[in-house]
Amino acid sequence: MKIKYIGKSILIEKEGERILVIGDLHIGYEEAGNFSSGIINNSIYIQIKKDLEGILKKVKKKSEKINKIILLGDIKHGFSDMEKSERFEIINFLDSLKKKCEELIITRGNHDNFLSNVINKEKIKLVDYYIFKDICFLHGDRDFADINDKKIKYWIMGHVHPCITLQDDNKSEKYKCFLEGKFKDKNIIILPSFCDKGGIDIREREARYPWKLKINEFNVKIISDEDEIFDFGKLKKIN
Amino acid sequence: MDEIKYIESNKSQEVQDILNPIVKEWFFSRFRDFSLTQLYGVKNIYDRKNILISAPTGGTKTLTAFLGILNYLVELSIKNELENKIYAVYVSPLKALSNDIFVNLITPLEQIRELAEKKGIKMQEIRVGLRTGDTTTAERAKHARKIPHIYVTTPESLAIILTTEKFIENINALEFIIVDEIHALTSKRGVYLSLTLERLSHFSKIEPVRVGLSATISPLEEIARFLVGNGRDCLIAKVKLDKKIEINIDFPGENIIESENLENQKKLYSILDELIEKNRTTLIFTNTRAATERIIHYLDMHFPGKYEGRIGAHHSSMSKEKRFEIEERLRKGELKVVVSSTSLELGIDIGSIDLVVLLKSPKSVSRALQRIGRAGHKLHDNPRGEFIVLDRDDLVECSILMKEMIEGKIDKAEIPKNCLDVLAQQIYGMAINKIWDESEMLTLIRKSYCYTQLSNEDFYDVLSYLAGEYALEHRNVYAKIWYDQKTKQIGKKGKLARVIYMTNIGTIPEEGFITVVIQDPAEKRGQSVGKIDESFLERMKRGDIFALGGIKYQYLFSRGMKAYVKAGVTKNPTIPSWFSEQLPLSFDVALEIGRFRRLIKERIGNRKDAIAFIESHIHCKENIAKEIYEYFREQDKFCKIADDKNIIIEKFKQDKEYVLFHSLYGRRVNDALARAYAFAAARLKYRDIEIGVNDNGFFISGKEIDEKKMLNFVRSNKLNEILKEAVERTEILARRFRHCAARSLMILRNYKGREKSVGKQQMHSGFLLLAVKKISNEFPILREARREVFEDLMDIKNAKKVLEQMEKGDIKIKLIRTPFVSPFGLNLYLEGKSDIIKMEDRANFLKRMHGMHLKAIEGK
Repeated sequence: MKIKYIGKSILIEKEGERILVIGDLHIGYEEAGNFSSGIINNSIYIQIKKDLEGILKKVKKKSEKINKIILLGDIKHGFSDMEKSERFEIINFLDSLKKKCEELIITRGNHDNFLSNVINKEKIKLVDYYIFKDICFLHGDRDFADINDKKIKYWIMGHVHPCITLQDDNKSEKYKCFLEGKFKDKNIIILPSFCDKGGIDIREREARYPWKLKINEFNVKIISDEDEIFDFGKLKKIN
Repeated sequence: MDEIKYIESNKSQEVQDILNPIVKEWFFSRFRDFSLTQLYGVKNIYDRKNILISAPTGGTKTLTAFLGILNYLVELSIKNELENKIYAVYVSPLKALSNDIFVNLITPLEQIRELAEKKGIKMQEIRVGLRTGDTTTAERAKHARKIPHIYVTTPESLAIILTTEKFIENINALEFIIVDEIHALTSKRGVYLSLTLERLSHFSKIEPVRVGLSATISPLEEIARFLVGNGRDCLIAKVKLDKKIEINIDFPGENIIESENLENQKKLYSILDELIEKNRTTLIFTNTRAATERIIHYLDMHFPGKYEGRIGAHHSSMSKEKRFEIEERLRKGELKVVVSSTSLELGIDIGSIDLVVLLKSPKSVSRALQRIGRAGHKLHDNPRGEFIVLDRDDLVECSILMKEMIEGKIDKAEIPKNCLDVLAQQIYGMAINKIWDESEMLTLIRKSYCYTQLSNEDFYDVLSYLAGEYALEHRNVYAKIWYDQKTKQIGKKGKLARVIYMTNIGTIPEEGFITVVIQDPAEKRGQSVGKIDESFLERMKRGDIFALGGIKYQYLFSRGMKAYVKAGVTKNPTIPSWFSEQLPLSFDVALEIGRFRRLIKERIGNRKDAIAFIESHIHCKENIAKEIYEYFREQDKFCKIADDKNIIIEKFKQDKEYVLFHSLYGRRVNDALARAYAFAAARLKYRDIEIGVNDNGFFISGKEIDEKKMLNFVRSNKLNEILKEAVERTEILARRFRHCAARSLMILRNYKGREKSVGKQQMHSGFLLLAVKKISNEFPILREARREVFEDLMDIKNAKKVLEQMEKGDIKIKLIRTPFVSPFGLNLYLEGKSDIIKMEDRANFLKRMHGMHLKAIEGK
């Protein structure tokens, strides 16, 4: 199995299959908390589309196809009061993604209660978790009996939007990061959120997973805009 | 036209001659004679002259303004000619008006009516209506049925009622406008009012007479123009009451060095106790909320039980009810002493204060006068004040303030010009009234003194924004007006226009308070320990240590309106707690201190001469003069002293390189200079640079600083350009943008009755700022935010003057290298950084941090 880091997403190549994995999207985040929710052609949404196009361009540059795109949940922020126009946009968005691959899979997140009413179930697979060979993809807010199976070696998930603040004497900047570590017999990869929503420094609040993950022991990887990997080693060693 | 003229007072007989017999009889049954202020004002107002009356506090200004008008209304009512309309509007920036109005308007009216009744003279009722933000709907409805003849209101309420058709019908033959406390309106609130007044004049068939009432302020000509706008004459009555200011300066201990010593600060409380004891009621100003609490705490500690129930605190973060209660108890004489930050400077009558104590410098002459004017509020008492200083810089500063007060020199107030956010709000208000021709609207706007120079470009940009031409609909910023390019007409858009306008009006930004919550240690988690200012939070980064209520905390992170901290830290604070409340030293006073320094330096060799000079120069006692002399002599021995013609720059290396400027221009000028130089230094090395600023100087610090190149980079003609780039990505611009966005109604605080929290406004404005910058970096409201940063927060105009003088050689620069920070730079150095100029980009920083991190790990 090969894992390539591309911006905020990863591409998994395994046994001839190419799988693009994308973290929490939270479309419409900036409207949440506003008085009225307008059409979602706002900058965050535009940015998401732009970033995705960039990634797809990189992934497909050798005219290789993508077999699967997996969205790790939390597609739309604040789903309950969605307007028709917004539904339309979401459907459009997902349809356009579907066209780029053979199979589009969404692992349901805690923000996705209403998603099943919106999507075309014939085209898009909406599941609690998705298992491919020895890899399990899931959002990360809930535990399931099946995913603890011994045959599964990897859990790939989102949910906590990991970020890390780096600082020296007079500067501090926040970066999205990947977290990689172990839990029992599983290798875990946590993806950063895909949207521009500012995440929270992973040291500043407990990771809200149903398992007791020792996040402090996880490796922190920051991916630069040029897809260069900066491995910072264990979280606990970073000041 | 446009003539501004200083006048002399009338004779008592001249004023008596205009009074109706009843009014005259009433007046002299209450007062022995006219006050000087009344001699200046009453007849001129009665003769319908625009007039600005400036008199020290303790005058009889309000009645002066009303007496001529009352006289006129009484005459009409006796002749049975009183119409059903508003004759006079009285506007005051103070919300708690009712007491003042009761004394100066309602009581006189009742007494006059009783007198007339006794004499069997029939009078129509003269009605007074009061409308502030607190006025109930029932009362407002009453005003609509029974139109008041005198309408008492605040600037905001006045603007609201101007959108009501019914009200405009009642006011379309207005005869008088009184603006009280105009000295407190040299802000955006005043700019706003200036346009409201033009709207009032516009709707009125008669040109109403404008009367401005002011405490001591300078320059009066400018305030007069601000009052009347363009194309109108104005008289200025500069009333000098023959009250003498009694002012003294003192410090605890034998000498001032001693009072800097913490141990000896006990003596401060003995001095305070003595002063309080000697006077009936004492008011103490401390500048900050924290100090207010501290003084009360220590007074109680040193004199247990003595002050229980007789001492009160008064500051802006106390609840309105609590403050009212203190004011009420003051008036009743129940309190022996009140300690206030700045909140009691202005406003309502607070009874008889005998002494005002100023702890810490009030930073400007007008502010010092205002504070001391709170004592001896009654007509014939002298205002008495006492500076008590605790360190030597404060001693010099307060001495100069004292000198300026005694000599009657007052620092210049500045009124903001061409504020585009205020303009946007007013244009919206105007569009709600009726459909306007563009030229008619622009003419009205330019009649305001604050918009005389408004460019066509600015005007059209604001119209474009309001008409939705910047395509911000998807940001929930909807068009508020329509603008027809062909007919050049402007009108309102949307059914809710009036409601939106009414519920979002105003210019005072809402500042949020952040609750501080303990995160660490776990056993105390979730415990909230107090509140801090939003602006204070903006300065902090992870790991910073600050004090709150005397206890130290380490800042971890913030979420919405909460800041999470670690308790039980022992390290020293990295951020001074008073930062956000600090008053800036006025430029004029700063220059005067600079001049004073230079004059002493010239005499430093001759001790006797120098001390005699100081005594006569600042009108002080010998012991004060000696202290000041010793301070300067010591400084002079160590290194050169900076003054108004010499800037000293010291460079030293600590954890990084520091370039520290001793530039005595006040923090507003220093802020502008610091940011410009920091930007230069950052640009030269492509690394981030920190700055620290106070009234006496500023520093910039970073890994390496090439001070010569940096000094050459910043030229006076480039200052605007450099600063524009330097503040572009800072929190201060973002914050000011939020205020401007709220004022220009981009962000609605209230929509369909739902209030939006400051936190949410903040989030929304963050997104808006990004969006706006993408659309146009010259978006009018963004321009306004920049103007506010440059002109109101900083003082770019005077900063430029300083640079020009440096270029001409009138101000000399001397660079010295020191092994570590010099004693005079120490305070500034310890106060720490106030901001950071970002230059290094994220990618670079990431690479560098990664390298450092690997090294650190390997090192272990």
